[in-house]
Amino acid sequence: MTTLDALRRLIIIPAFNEAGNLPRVIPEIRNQAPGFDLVVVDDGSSDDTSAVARGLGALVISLPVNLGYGGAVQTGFRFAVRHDYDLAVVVDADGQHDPANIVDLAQVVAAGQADVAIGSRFRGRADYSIPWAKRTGMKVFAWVVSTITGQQVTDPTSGFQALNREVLRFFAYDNYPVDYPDADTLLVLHYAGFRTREAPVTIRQRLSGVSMHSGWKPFYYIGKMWLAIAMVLLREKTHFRQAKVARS
Amino acid sequence: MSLQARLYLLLLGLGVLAIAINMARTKRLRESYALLWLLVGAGLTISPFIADHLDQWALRLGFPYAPSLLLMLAIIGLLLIIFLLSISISRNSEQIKTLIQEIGLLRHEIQRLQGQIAGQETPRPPAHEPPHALPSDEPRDPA
Repeated sequence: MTTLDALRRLIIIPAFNEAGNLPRVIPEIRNQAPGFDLVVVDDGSSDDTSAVARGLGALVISLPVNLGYGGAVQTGFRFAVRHDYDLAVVVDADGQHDPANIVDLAQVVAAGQADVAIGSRFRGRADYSIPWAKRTGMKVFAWVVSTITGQQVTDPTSGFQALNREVLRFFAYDNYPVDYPDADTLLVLHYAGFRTREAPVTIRQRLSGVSMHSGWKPFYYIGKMWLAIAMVLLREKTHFRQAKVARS
Repeated sequence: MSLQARLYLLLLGLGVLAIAINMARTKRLRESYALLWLLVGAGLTISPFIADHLDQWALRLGFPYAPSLLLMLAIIGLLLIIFLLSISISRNSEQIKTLIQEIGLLRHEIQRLQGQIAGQETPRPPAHEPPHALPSDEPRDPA
C-alpha cells in the first residue's frame, strides 16, 4: 500500500470553451486536492480557455483543433505517461465534478484497491435532475456492464476517474475512444485484466455553458454505444495482449 | 449492342484509364487508389468486346434481363470503392488525432522551454521530469 503523498499525481482537465468556468473550478480543485499537478487540455476552444488556465497557473496543452472529449483526455494521458506520473484524475472543467472527491478517488488507486477508481453519482449524489431518457440509457448500459463483468456497476458514463500508471499507459496510445469514454471503456478495462472500482462522488449542476449531451447526440450515442460494446466483445483477446504490453 | 454504344463505352474506358494514369503520374492520385480506377477503366474498355457474351452469362447466373447484371456489377464496384475510402478515412482520422495530440504536447513543451530560456517563472514543470521522451519510444501507430 502506497500513500498518496509518495506518488506523482496529476489532475487532467479537458476543457472546451470553458473560460467562464475555469476561474471558479481551478482554485476550488487546488484547494481540495493539494499536491496534484494540474494540466488543462484546451480542446481547440474558440474562447480564452488556454489563456485563462495559464493565468491561473495550470499547465496548458492547447490542441489546435477540437478533438472531442476522449481525444482531449487521451492527450492528458499521454502527457502523464511522458512526464512519468504515477496517477491521474480526470476532472471536468464545467464544475460538475465535485473536487472534494478527487482525493477519495485517488486514494482508492493509491491504496491498490483498484487500477481505476470511477466516481459514481448513483453511489454518491447527483445535485441535478437527469433527464429520464438519459437515466434509462445509463441504467441499461450499467446493467450490460454489470452482467458482463460480474461486478456491480452503477454509473458507466462517469468521466470522473482516477487511473494508475499502467492504465494510463494502456490508454495513452490506443484503447481510448475519441468521443466519450463509456460503458465500452469499462469492458475494455475488464477484458484487459484491470481492476475497476466505483466510489461515491457528487456530480453537480454545471456552472455555465452548454452540456455536450444535447440535441441529436443522444440518438447517435445509443447506436454507437451498442456497436462499441459489440466490438469490445469481439476484440476481447486483443485488449488482454495490449494490457500486457502496457504493464511490462 | 450497337456499334455506336460500343464506341462510347470504349472511349469512356480509355478516358478513365488516361485520367487515372495521368493523375498517378503527376502524383495527384496515390498508386493504391489509381489501381482501383485503372481496374474500373480496364473493365469499361473491354466491356464492348465482351458485350455479346453478357446475355449468356446473365441468363446462366439467373438474370433474365442482362442490363440488370451490369447494373448490379456497377453498384458493387461503386460500393467497394466507397468502402475502401471509408477505411482510409478511418485510418486518416486516427492519424490526424495523434498529430493533433502531439502538436498540443509539443506546443506545451515549446512554451515551457521558451519560459526557461527567458528565465521567467513559467508554469511549473513536473517535479522530476524524466529525460525527454521522444515520440520514437512509443508504440508505433499500427496504421
